[in-house]
Amino acid sequence: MLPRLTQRANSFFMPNLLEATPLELNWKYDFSPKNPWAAILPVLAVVHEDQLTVVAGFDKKHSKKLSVLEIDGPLAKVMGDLYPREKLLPLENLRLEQILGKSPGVLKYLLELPLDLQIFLDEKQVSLKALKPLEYLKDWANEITFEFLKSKPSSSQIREILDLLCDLKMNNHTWLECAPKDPQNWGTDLFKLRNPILTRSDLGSADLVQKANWPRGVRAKWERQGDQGGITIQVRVANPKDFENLKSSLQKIELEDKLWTP
Amino acid sequence: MDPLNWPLPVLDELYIHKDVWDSDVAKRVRSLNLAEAIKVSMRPYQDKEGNLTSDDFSHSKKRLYLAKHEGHFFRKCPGTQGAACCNYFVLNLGVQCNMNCSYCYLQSYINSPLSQIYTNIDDALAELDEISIRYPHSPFRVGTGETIDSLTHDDLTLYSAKLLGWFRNHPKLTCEFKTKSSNIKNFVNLKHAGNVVVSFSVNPQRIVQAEEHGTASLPSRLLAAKVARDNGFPVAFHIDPMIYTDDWEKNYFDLVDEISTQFKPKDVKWISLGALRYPPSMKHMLRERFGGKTASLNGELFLSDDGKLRYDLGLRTKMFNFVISEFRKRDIKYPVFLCMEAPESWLGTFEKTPRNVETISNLFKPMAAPL
Repeated sequence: MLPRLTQRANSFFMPNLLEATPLELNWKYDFSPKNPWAAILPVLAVVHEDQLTVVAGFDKKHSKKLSVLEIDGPLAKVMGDLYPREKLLPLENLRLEQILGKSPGVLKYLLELPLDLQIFLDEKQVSLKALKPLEYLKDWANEITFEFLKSKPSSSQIREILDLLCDLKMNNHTWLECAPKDPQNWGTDLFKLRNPILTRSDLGSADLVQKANWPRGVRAKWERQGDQGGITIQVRVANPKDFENLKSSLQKIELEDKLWTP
Repeated sequence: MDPLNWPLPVLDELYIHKDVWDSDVAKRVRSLNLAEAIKVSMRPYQDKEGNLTSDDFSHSKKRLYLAKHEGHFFRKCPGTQGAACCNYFVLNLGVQCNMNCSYCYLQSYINSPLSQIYTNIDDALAELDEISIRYPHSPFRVGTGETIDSLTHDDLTLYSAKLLGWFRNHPKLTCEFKTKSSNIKNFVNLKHAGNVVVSFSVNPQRIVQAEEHGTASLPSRLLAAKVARDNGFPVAFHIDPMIYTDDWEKNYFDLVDEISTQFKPKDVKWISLGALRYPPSMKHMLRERFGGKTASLNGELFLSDDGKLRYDLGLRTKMFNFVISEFRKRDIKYPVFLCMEAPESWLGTFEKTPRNVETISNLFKPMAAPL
């Protein structure tokens, strides 16, 4: 049974333009699309299961009165036309599919995340694949949401942080241990917590490099690139004599074996 | 229990392609009553092909499909980007394994929710015939344990005996049966030309128990190796992947000790070393399938130049050096080499590139081969 509408707009050109209150409409298909519906446009609705059902303009749910444009067609088709899959962000698309009755299957945990976090992750264009660690971080979802919305990490930082948090949680670390002390260095701090042996070893190596008797003008430091630690040496040589001096000075440097091995 | 007794696989589902219903393998499998029902199917689970969930992967170990393989069987070992190549070739006679190692690379490789055994081994042997004629001077080493364990399903296929027969007539080539089982009974008493290497992937028993589920114990593998050796077969060992734990030195010291006590360098064709490695995309599969309880996941691994996660290069070098020096302390002639490691690791460990390491240089000489 269709709701009784407050007033049917009397327009020759738009016979399906109605006026209604939010309570007279079915808002069940609000999947929180990312892009807001233009304020100037009427809410779009279709007749679905005898109810005038909103398909666009969900953000007007709390208005007192609404203009509603009733359009023809089955709900799923209209929503498919309004929100082409290829134009939706990953989690946005997942929400739409779920609301239209398609089970998210193994991705259900993503739709149980706070909506603010879902929207943030979509905005950062993080792929669903990279969000898999969140399956193990349900208990920390609110804390993660708060921290992400506060410090707004980049997409690659998000991936790194989630992966590290997942490893740490699976190894029985608590949120208190993992929470950011300094939001800008959250990823680095988690890396150190996750990899204590390497961290200790890199600190030791850095110390040994720093203490080595480098020739004047040589800047040397221990650096890590993926699975390899090594010494980066920076030096400027302006003439052949300096170059010869540098070579002989470098030959005198002795570095302990333990520098290279964790 | 006899340590060489290897159990038949337990299957939930068994499918046979209609075209191979009467093949030798299908007849044998049908006679073994491995599953409650046998289904004839052209391509089971076609709709589930693609990226597998962890459940799909686990189930695939208990769903067996017998069918012909339509493509090539023989190909060069893909190795890894930037690694020293040891001229290894593979002959794939199936895909998937009924054992369950936490670090298994198949978790990132397989996209079919079924284990498959290819029933047309005669086509594979015909391909080998052709290659041996086309490259008469290339002493290929051909392994059958890349996408499936060489021997775990041997009671179903009896392929070991067929391969042994073929290689008996091609003594210049070498075949490698590579396994974590102890299933040597179907071929060990057969006549051979000494060019079938029976190789065992081994790890300290503590690692076997924790990470290599459903495999033969270390003592059973070593016993099988002894029986093979005593029957004139060259044997080989792959200490791969070495896994770091707090007591890794003791674990690998004991392992070297067990191998070197029972096998002299002349018994051993090669000993390869590798350290834990896998692509980052496999991490989630490990989490889902083994939880937080596996050293494969809990280890400190970092992205290497070839895109795989590995231990720190310094740690890997230390682990390799340790094992090599323990072998050398016992006998300098043990032919140890590194598997899928970049030149930096070789130089760190041997101070030479592989072609300059006397005991194994012949494995790394370039040879004419199909691409």
